[in-house]
Amino acid sequence: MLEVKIKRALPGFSLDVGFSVDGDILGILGPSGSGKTMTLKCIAGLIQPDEGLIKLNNRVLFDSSKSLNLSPQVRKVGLVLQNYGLFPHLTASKNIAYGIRNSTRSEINDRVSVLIEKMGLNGLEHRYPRQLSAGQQQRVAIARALAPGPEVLLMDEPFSALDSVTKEQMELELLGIRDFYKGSIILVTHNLAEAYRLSSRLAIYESGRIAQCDHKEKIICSPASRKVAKMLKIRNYLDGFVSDISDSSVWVTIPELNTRLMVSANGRNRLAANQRVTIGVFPDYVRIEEGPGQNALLSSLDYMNNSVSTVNYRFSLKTVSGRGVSIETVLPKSEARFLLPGQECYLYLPPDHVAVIDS
Amino acid sequence: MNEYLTPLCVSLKTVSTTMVVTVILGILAARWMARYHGRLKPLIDGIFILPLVLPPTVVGLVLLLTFGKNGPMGQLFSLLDTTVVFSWPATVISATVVSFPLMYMTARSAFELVDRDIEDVARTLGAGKWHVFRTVTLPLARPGIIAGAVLCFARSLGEFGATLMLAGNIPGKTTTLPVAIYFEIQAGHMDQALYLTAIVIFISFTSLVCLAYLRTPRRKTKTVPEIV
Amino acid sequence: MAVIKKTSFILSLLTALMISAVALTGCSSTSNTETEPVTINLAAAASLTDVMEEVNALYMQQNPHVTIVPSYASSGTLQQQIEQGAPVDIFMSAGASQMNTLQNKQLIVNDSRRDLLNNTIVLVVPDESTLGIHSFDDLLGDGVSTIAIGDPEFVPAGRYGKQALEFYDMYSQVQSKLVLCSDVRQVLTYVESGNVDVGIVYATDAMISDTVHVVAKGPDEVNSTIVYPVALIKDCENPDAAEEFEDFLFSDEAGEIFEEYGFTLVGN
Repeated sequence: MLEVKIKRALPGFSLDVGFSVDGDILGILGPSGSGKTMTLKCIAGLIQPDEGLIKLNNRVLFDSSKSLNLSPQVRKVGLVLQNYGLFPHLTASKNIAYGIRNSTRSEINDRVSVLIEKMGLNGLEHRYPRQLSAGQQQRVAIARALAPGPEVLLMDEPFSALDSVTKEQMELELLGIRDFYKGSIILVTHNLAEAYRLSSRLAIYESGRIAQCDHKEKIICSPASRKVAKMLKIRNYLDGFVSDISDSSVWVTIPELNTRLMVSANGRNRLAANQRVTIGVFPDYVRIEEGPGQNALLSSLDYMNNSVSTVNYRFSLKTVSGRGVSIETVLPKSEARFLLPGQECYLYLPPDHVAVIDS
Repeated sequence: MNEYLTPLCVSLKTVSTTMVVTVILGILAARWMARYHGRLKPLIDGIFILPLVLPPTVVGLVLLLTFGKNGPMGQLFSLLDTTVVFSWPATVISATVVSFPLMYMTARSAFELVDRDIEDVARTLGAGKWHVFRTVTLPLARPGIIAGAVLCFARSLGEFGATLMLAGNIPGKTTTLPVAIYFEIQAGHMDQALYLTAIVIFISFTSLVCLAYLRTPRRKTKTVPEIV
Repeated sequence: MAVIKKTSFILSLLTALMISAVALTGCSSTSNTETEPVTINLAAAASLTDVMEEVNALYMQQNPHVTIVPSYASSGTLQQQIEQGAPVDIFMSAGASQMNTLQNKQLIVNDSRRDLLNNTIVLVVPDESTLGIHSFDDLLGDGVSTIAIGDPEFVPAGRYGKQALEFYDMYSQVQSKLVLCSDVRQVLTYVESGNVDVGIVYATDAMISDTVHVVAKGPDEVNSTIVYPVALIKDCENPDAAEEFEDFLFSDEAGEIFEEYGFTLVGN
């Protein structure tokens, strides 16, 4: 288990984060410059935080109160960087063997062959990095990081330099390494979908702070703030207040629409009656219905346009004040309906997918 | 024959010793400054590069004042019962001082070009700072270091002004090829001067050609095309 | 229209520049028109540096229209420069051989060649020297590691020094200790700095310096051959002025100055 709680101040930026990872994959998601890479470097021992504590499996790597700061080479932390950081002057095998050079020749060869096999690098052992494709280089970088048997694997935007086809493949392979690597993994990315697919928990970074750190489903259903929601690409915001909380359901009244919506009960522990909240829904979950019903809102079409395999719609809701509120929805072409601008219909917001955001 | 062999021997001894000293010092200094970003950096940098912009005679004078009888280093050495001025080590000292900036600057750019990320990753793979330096930084900086050594060789072979001031003209001991050429010209012995000049050109040319071969990376048979 | 204006502007600018250039040159010429101003280029051996400065000053004082431009270096260097065509009017060498070379190449006015001065070779040490050197024999000792001497190939004092060492049968033994210099003044500087143990210079050089002292004289057999010839260079710019200056060198006034500096006059 990795516990991190660190602070570091720089001119114009300060990092103040704390989280832990215990054998699962934690995705660190955030915009560029929010401190994600710095966090990884602090864990690896390449940057020294100003204060804090880093513990890995009951070994203290960094403790400012005791002036303890282990050097990177003894931390047993695996690091894979965005541009892979392969040694250009060494072959793939030699790259992988770099971290285990202190074993006997046969041990080294065994371990390298195992990793080459597992990472699908057969035949490429004697190639130099410049003779490998981006995906192959990535795999060598991962094999190299795993060779010494690290206790945590840190990956900084590992797939951002890959084309989408290779990316998909590499994501599968990453999940595949769970077969032989059981330690914790921290994956830094700015790509939400990737983070969601690969991680079990997410830490949302914003300007050097963690805005929310939780299981991904929980975050999706109850983002801690509007900013987090925006990062998750939740749209369709409506302001209101909590009107009812029970074990199985939570109700939010939307004054603008003069209606009550049933919302996700996932985050009900954080909610109190009459609490002001904003609700948000992914466009993907909004459905077009024929008639009225619970959680169905009357709206009229503004416009619709075709994408490659989906159709995007924008509707205006009828509000009490007369001010326009938009709802966007996306439907696969197979389910899409042709509507005329101005045409009225009901938009259904499935309760389980209505996120409740604290205002 | 002796008047050609002796300056040649002195020069070869001086240049080879200088190269060893300068390359080592240059690498160490360059390594330090490539990763040092303190406030004194421009100052230290300036001191290291200074001999490059000073006329060799000025360098020679400064060295003479430092290692001479009344200079700080000179007095230190006299405690050890040795004098540096007008001795063979003085040729190495002068040659080292004037060629050091070239080695330092070339090695430093080479080190600065080595990707910091690569060194960082090497650290996490269990390598201490010196091991990273030996196994990652140096091999990657090799072309730059060789270029620096070539410059050092050329500069120290041709070094005259500072050498003459600090080491003087003692045939067989401190008379290097350039000093010998100068004094032959002074004496009006043009033939001898030309022979010595030819020797210098020959040494320089063959050495540069050999070093050029060393620099081109060995191209293994291109069975695997590089992926663009 | 604009082109013509530009051209005439440039023309008037050029004219103005030319006029001022002529005016300036006109201004710099001395108003003293009774005797034409004349320059004498003097090439003198390094060992004559100090004494000739005084002699030159005296001559110029007495002859205000004359400017003496001296060049001091080892006689060998000067001889080569003259061979290469340097504009020298009168040459004062510290050794006969350099003058002989020039004479053989017919570069001097033969009639004007006269021997002016004698000098002696001496050993000098820095004043603080503790090596206890009292004679040429002491040069063989282990305590002496560096001996400064002019390069015998082209510095007369060096040649005489080498002859002295050969006279004492010690040249080959001390050869590895010799630090060769490009002129005799450099030898003196080395000894003054204390960076060499001992130097071989002229007695007159030793007199100039007050931080070195003489410990031994060279053998008479060598010293008696030391002679400083003077000669006019053929086809020099101002032969008459040069000849007048040469005569002055042999005058009593000049002689007094030479003796003051430790030289002996030829014929005395």
